[in-house]
Amino acid sequence: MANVIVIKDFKKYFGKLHAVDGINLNVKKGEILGFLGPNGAGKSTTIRCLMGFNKPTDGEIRVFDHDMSTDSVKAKRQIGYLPGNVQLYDNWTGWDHIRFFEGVRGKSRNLNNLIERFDFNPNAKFRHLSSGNQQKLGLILALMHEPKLLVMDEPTVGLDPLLQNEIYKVLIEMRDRGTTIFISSHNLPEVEKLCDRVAIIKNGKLVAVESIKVLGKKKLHKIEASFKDKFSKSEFEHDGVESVDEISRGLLITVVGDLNPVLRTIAKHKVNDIEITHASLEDVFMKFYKGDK
Amino acid sequence: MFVFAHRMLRDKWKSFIIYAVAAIGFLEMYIALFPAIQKQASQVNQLIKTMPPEFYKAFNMDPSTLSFDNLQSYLSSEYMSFLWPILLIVFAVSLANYISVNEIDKGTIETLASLPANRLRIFLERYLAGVLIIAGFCIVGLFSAIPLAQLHNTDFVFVNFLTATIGSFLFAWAVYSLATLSSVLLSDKGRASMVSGGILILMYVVFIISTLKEGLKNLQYMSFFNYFSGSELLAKNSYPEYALLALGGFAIVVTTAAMLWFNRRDLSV
Repeated sequence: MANVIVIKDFKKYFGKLHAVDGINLNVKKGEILGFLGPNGAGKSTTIRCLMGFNKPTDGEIRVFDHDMSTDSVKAKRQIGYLPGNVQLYDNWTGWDHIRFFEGVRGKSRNLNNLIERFDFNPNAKFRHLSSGNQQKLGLILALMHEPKLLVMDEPTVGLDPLLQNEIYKVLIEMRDRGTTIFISSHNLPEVEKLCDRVAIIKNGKLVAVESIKVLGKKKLHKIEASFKDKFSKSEFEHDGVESVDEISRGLLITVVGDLNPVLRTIAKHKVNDIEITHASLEDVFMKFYKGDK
Repeated sequence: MFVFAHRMLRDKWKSFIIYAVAAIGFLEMYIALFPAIQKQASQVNQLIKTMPPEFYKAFNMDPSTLSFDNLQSYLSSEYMSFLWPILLIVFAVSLANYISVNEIDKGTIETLASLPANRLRIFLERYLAGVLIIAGFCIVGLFSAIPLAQLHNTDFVFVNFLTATIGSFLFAWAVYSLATLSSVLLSDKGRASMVSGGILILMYVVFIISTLKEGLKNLQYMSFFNYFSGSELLAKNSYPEYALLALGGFAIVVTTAAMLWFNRRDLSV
């Protein structure tokens, strides 16, 4: 499958600050890639260079085979972009923004559908819109020319759950039609729900690029068990057990991979109560950030 | 086509109207007073002669042309020596800020830059729209004097106003180009305005010093104010070619530098 985005040895330095320090990443056609990392990790810097706003210090970013630092105009014809915390023109109405975009990109074919779907009133000035409605306008502008690549920074921030679900539906429909989607997000359940793969960036370097399925297999389980009889922590320290912590009359055991050895040890005791929970993507994400991989 | 220029014209028309109304208001005030002042012209001219020459130099006025006998000389000292250049400078800087620094400061540049349009196109369309607005403002801000003079039964010389308009346009174009460079170099709107304003104040001070100190006379060529004199333009109807070359040449060179910088700079900071 062809790569829509190719990031090769990409570096961006601001003086002594190495915001992004040599990352390599490909995004395939029709894929939804979640780009994760805490504030200051290099996500926004990468997105800004990916969109051609800023120039890399070194390396190359190609979108639809166009170098984004020298030849971004052709690529941008096929890109929809939603910045984090949408900043548009205060004194323009929604229609002003839409007409301006149409003036550059050409007439939109799905505008009415988007306005209706997001229940948006384009007559109000941007400064009078609530943050949710500002985000809706940003989404409409990003989606109205049916892009082949969507680059989105926190697409559902500030939106109510109903609208969030509507956006998920739109994104999945677009993915099914072959649109490639690059999402930067802090909302890990959202990433887990939408994305095919995730790339995790830390201190300007990629620490993991995995498919959601593989991450699922790597998932942690947390077992909280309380016992009626005596127990010792050491008997639960099998392969794959990350940690064993004492809690009131029991243990909190974190397991990676096969649960059965731990369950067999638990079964040797008189169990008062037991709860097994799947660790979320958030737990996996935090694992990367607690200690170096 | 010309989406960015069209949008700038739409966004800036209210400012244009406000500045134009202010200029017309001041002109009306001065011209309405002129018939009364003209009656006492001989007394006022006597008074002018008593002032030290340095006083006139400080306001970029030529005492030899200073007379309240005719409208051109009167307006060249009352309107064109101070108020009109201030209006031109403030308006030109605000237009230049629109090209880049306002967008970077507010964060709207990402929306603009996400569109499939060459940066040079965005720059040039906006820059030229600004030049058009400045030309319109110069025409309104000086030619309005003609119907107002007719309204107050005052004689005027049309060609002097034409020369003054051309000279004012070149001065404003040079200021606008300088402010455009500042607008694309910096990322903070306040700082960009301060740098443009600071350079112009420095130019004014340099010009005054160069006229007062014989040894520093050549410094005058570094100042825009050497090439813009209300007395020369409106009172004498004279505009030297070197002034046209200096201001026009400066505008072209500085605009080219600004355009190249805008094309290569990091837009999102």
